[in-house]
Amino acid sequence: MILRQEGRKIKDSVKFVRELISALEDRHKKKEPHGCIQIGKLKGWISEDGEFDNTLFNHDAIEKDRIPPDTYTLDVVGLYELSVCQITGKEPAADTPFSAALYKTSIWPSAFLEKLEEFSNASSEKHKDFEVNHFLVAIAEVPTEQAPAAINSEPVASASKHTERNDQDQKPQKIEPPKEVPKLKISVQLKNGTVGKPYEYEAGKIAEAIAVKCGGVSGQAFIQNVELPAGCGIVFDEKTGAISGSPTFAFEKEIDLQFFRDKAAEALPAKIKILINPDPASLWKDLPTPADAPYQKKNTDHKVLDAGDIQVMAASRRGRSHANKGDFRDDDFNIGYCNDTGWVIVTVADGAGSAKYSRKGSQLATETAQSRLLNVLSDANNSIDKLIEQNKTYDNPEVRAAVRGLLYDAALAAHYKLVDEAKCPSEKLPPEVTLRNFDTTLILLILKKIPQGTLLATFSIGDGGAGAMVSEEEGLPLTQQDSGEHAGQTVFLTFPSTLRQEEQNLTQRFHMVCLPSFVGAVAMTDGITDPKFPSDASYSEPSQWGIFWKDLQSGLASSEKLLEWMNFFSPGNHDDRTLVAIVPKNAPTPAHEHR
Amino acid sequence: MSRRLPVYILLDTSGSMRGEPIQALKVGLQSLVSTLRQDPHALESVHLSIITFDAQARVVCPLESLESFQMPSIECPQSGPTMTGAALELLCQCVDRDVKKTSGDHKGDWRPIAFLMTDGSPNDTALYERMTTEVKKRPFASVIACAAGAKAKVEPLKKMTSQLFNLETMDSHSFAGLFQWVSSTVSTGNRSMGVSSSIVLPPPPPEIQVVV
Repeated sequence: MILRQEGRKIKDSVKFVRELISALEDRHKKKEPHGCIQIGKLKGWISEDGEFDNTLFNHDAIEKDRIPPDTYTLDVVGLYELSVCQITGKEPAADTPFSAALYKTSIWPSAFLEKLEEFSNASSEKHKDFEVNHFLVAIAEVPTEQAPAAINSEPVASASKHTERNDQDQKPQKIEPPKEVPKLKISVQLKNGTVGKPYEYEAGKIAEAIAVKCGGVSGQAFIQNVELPAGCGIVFDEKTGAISGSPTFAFEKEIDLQFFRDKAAEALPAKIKILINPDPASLWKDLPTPADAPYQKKNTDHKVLDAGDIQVMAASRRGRSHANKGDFRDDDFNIGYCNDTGWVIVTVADGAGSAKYSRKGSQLATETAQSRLLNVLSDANNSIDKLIEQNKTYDNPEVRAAVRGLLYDAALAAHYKLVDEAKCPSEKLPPEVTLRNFDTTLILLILKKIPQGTLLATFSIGDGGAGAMVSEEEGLPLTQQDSGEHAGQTVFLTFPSTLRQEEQNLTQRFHMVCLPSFVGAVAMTDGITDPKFPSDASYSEPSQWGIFWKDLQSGLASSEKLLEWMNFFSPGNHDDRTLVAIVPKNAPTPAHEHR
Repeated sequence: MSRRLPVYILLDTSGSMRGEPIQALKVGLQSLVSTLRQDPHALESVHLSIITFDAQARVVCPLESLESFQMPSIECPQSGPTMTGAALELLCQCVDRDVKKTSGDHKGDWRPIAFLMTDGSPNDTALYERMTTEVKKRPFASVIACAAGAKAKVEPLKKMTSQLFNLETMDSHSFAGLFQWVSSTVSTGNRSMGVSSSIVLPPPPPEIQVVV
C-alpha cells in the first residue's frame, strides 16, 4: 500500500523532471543560459524503467560539492523563471507573485510550488538565502496534501512519521500489515466565523457531527486534544467539548483532534475544518486617487456659510468603497446666500459610481444650478419675492408655479451644462466621451424666511433626500426618492426623461412647504439616507427624522465635526456621503448645551 | 440587514469536464471565494449560489452569504448530456424566489449577477431557447457567459448574453485568471447605476478572449 503511495509521488516528480529537461534542452539548443543545471544529470535521475532514482538524485542534488551551494546566483533566478514558465505557461511577471495555491491540485509537487512562491515573495535581500538545491530538494518532497486513498489502510501509529519532511533518503520500507485499527479519515467542516463576532459550538456538537460521519451516534462520543491556533481567540474546553470565544484573526485551517466513540473506545484521529473570515471593517484600504486622472477632486470638502440668522453647514467625504479602490469622491455640494433677499440656496449631487466622470458631473451640476438660482434670487426685484408680496402668501398656485419653474430651469441648465461638457470636455479626455459618463443625481433646496414662517422648496432627481424638522422630535421628507426595485437603481440628471415637462414628472420632483417655526433642514446624498433611513417607509416616518436629527447634533458643532460625524460605520453602506444642514443660528441644540 | 448582492455561478459538470478541467475549475472557484473574502464590500454584501448542470441541473449551494459560504462538493458524471436550458430554468426560479425587490419596508437587493461556464453546447435546445428570453426578463445587472475549451459552442451563448468570453484552455492557470476576473466584476456590482444599464465589466485578463 505504502509502495503505491510512493509510486505516485515518484511519478509526479518524474513528470516534472521530464518537463524540466525538455525545457532546459530547449534553452540549450537556443544557446540560452541555463546555469549549472546539467541536463545529463537530470536525465540520470530517471531510471530506465521510468522511475525516479533516489540514489542518483540524492547524490546530485544533495551533495553540496556537486552543485556549488552558491547562494543567489543567476541559476536560482533562472531555475525559478523556468519553472514558473513551465507551470503557468507564461513568463513570470515581476508584479504578479507566483501563487502556489492556484496550482495545488496540479501534478507539481506542492513543496516545490511553495518554494517557488516563497522565492517570488522574497525581497531581493532575502533572495540571497536561496540555493538551487532548495528547489531541487522540494521536487522530491512528498506532496503531503495529495496523499492518495492508501492512507486509509495506513496504521494510525505511523501517521506522525508520515508528516515528517526531508525523508527522501529513506528507502521505501516495508510496513507491517496493519493491526486491528479501524480505518478512519474523518473530516468535519464547522460553520464559518468572523473576527470579532462571537463563535460558539455547544458541548458535544462537534463529537456528534463526527460520530454521524462515522455512521453511528451513541450520544457518548467526545473529542480531545483540539489544537486551535494559539491566540486565535476561540478556545476548546477539554472538559465539556465546547468551542467558544471571539476570533482575533482570520484563518482557514484543518485541525487534528482525537475522537472517542465512547469512554471505553480507543482514540481515533479526526479533523475539523474551520474558516474564520476577516472583520470587513479591518479590510478597508485608503488608497490615493490617481494624480494623472482628469477632473481631480479632493477626498473631503466642508464649508460653513453665515446667512443672516441662519447657518448653513456642509460636508462631503469620499466613501470607504471609493477609498478602497482609489476612486474619486463622486459627491458634491454647493451652498449660497443672497444677502439682499435672504434666500439660502443648497445644491447636493451624487455622481453615479458606474459612470467614469460622474465626479465632474456632480460638481458641474451643483455649481451650475447654484449660480443660476443665485443669479435670479439675488435680484431684489426677482419674480418670486414679488409674487409672494403681491399675493400676501406663498400658498398660491401662481407662487408654486413660479418657484417650480425656477428650480426646474436651474436643473435644466445643469443638464445642458453636462451635455456641453460631454460634447466639448473642459479637460483632455480619452476619446468616446458620452453624456452618461457624467451621470449624477441632483437635489436643489431653497429656503427663505417670509412673514408666515420659513419657506422651503426642493427639486430632486435621483436618490438621496432632503427633509425639514417640524420640531426636535419630528420631521418630514421634502423629496420623493427615485429608487428602483433593486438597490443602486435610480435615475440621473443626464436622463432627458427626468426633465420631461409633464405634470406628473414635475409634481413628483417638486415640493414646497412653509414651517411656522424653523428647527432645521437637511439635504443629503444616499450615502447618508441609505443607512439612516433604511426603507421608504422610514423615510416618510416623522419620528425617524427625529431620531436622525438627534443623531446628527454632534455633527452640527462645526463643519469639521460634521465631516467627522459622517464617517460613521454601517455595514453595507460605504458610499460617498454629503450632507448640508441649515440651522437657526444660536439655536440651543443639545450639542451646544453640552459645551 | 444590509442589501445583498446575489451572485449565481452556473457550472457545466458534464462528462467532458471530468478529470483535470473540473479540478482546475474547483481550484479557480476556491480562489474566487478567497479573493472576494478580502474585499470588505463583497464580504458584507455578496451572496453566492452555485448551480451545476450535466444530465440535470441542481442547486449545489443555495444563496448564502460570503461570510458563511462553504465550498460544496462538485462531482462530474462519467458522461452524458449538457442540460444548459434546465440550468437557466433553475436560475430563473432561484432569482424569482431569492432576490428581494424594494418595498415600503425594506430596500431591494442589488441586481443579481449570473456567470455561466460551459465547455460544450446545450443538448436541451428547445428549453434553452425559451429560457434565454426568460433570463432577459430577470433584473440581472450582468449575465456573463464563458465558453471554455475547444469544444465549447459560442453561438448558442450569444442568444443569452452579449457579455460573452472565450477561454481557450481549461487548465488551472486559465481558470484562475477567469475567476480572478469574475471577482473583480463582482466587486464592481454594488454601485449606483441607471434602471436598465448593465455593469461595465473590467478588462478581462489576456487568457480570456472577448467574443464579438
